[in-house]
Amino acid sequence: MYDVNPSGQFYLRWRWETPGEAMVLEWYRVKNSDKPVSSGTLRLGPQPGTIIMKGNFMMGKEWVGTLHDDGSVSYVGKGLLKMRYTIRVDEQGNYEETYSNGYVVRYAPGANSATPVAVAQTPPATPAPSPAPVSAPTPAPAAPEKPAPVVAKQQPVPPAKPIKAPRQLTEEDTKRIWKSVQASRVRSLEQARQNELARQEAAQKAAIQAQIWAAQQAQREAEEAEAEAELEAERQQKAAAWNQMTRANEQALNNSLQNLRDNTARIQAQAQAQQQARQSAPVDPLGAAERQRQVELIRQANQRQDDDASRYAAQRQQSEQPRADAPTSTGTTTSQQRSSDAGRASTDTDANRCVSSAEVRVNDTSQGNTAAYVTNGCATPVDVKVCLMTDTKWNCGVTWGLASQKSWSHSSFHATGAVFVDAKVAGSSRALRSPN
Amino acid sequence: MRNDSTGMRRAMVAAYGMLVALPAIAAPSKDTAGGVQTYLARMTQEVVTKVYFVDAQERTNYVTGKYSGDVKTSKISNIARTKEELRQLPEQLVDKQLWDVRAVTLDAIDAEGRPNECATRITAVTASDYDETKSDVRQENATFSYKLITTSEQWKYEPLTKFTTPAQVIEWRNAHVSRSPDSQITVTSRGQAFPKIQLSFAAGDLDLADRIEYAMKFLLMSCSESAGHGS
Repeated sequence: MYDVNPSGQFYLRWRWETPGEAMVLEWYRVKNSDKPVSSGTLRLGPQPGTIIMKGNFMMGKEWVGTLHDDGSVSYVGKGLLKMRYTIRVDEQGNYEETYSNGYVVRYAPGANSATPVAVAQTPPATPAPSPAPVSAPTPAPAAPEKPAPVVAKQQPVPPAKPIKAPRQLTEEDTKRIWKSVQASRVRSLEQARQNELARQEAAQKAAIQAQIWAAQQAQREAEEAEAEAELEAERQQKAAAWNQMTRANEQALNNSLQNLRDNTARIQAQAQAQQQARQSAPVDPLGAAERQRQVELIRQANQRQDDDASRYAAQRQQSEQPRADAPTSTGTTTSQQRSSDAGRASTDTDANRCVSSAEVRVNDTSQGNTAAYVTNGCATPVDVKVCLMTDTKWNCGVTWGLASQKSWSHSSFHATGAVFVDAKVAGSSRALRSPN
Repeated sequence: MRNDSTGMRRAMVAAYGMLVALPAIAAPSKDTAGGVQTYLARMTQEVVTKVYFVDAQERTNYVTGKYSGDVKTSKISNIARTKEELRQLPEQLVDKQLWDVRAVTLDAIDAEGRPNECATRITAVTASDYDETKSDVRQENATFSYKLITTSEQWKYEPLTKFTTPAQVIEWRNAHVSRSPDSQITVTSRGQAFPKIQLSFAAGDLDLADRIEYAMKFLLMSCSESAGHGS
């Protein structure tokens, strides 16, 4: 059938896809009729008097058609877009599509149809767009139509089943129903009871689990508190021990310094007395023996001083070690760092700690000469200054870079016995001190 | 004569006991399929009666729809005229399942539209509005101006007529009745446009649940093809 609209460019054709089940409606372009531009498949609907039209356009959109008594079929699209239209075969045998906006399209039988007829188009009530859907390729995308009467004839709606009246139940039947209801009630109550039991059991399990978790948490907290208390007690114990040792060391140091001051004062007094004696009696046959005795006293005093210093150094090192090892709030890493730095820091800051006290030797190299020996006990080279007190002034000598475990001496004539020693790590920027 | 009188009294007592015991007497108006149909229809007004239309993909009360929206931007400045811009958001297809669709009208009418006491047509359903809208306004400040950005979104779904056009019908000849622990009585049947439809009465009361279940099973037995079927 051809579109009778002067501007119409299409014609319709129907064919069976599956005889008796599916009929295909195709739109062909008049000027290019090789293949259809659109098609729709018509099938009987699930209910009598209904037809389903599924287009190959608009993503396979479907329309549900309802057959009316006058032979027309009204189509309503499934989904949001209803796109309603009605088709019928008019009195002249034309296939007519009427859209909801009033637009009417008629197709007259074509030349190869049995009864070709030419018909004029009915103008729409309002200017309407082409019946073809906007998104469709060309002709009538939204214009799914079907020759309803034809289909109705070809696919007659099966007659509806006769209505079967319900059976009149006997008293026995109603009793059976009632028993069934009671049994169902019992089952549902039992099921509800089981559900409630399961719920209670689950709740109980959850509560027990919560209690277990709470107990475990409390135990963890108690253990942590106990460990914390032990740690704190140990820390305080170590701190007390360290303080006690520090006090003892300080006391020992003070004692040693006092001894040193006493020795120095005594030696100076003796030296002064000798000086006075020499001045008053230049030739004193007993002088040499007395000096020898005094030098021996000096040597013994130096030896005691060395012993005291060594003992003190050992004690101090012992006392510093626990402090370095004691736990602190900053953690083990800091303590270890401080501990490892301790030896080097003591040497860097005061090489005098590891350089031995001066050993004074009278007439060491020649008559009347007094020498003072020192030994580098440090692990690194040191610079050492040794000063000997003479009758008039201090006589000082310096050696640079005295290697570890090496000794060096400085000597002077007319030494009175007083010795001054200062040392520093070789390369240190600190200047060597002088006795004055 | 005396024996006859005693027998009559016994028969009356038995009949009275039956009247008291059978819920059918207390529930539907009459022990007929038509009376039971009327009773069930009336129950939709008294208890929550939900319907579930299950499609071939096992989706319940499934509706599709369209998402749309727009963004209106107003640039307001102290030194220039206000500029407005409206931008449409891309439309999208959306869907969802409705979990509270209720039957409000039941009729004893079959799929062909004929009065039939062995069929219950779910003629009308209702649900709270399930279309959604959302509006959001935010402000972006600049040195001499600010922007008011208003976003409006809509999710509009198919109407409930999807489930009533055509109306779905419960065929009591081929239905199944079940009762849940919370006293919901449900009849399951094959629909016309849906592979499965369910009509569920939330009785909330054991005795009322009994009466509704009795009514449903009465219809099952009355309409069954084989006599004696009923539980």
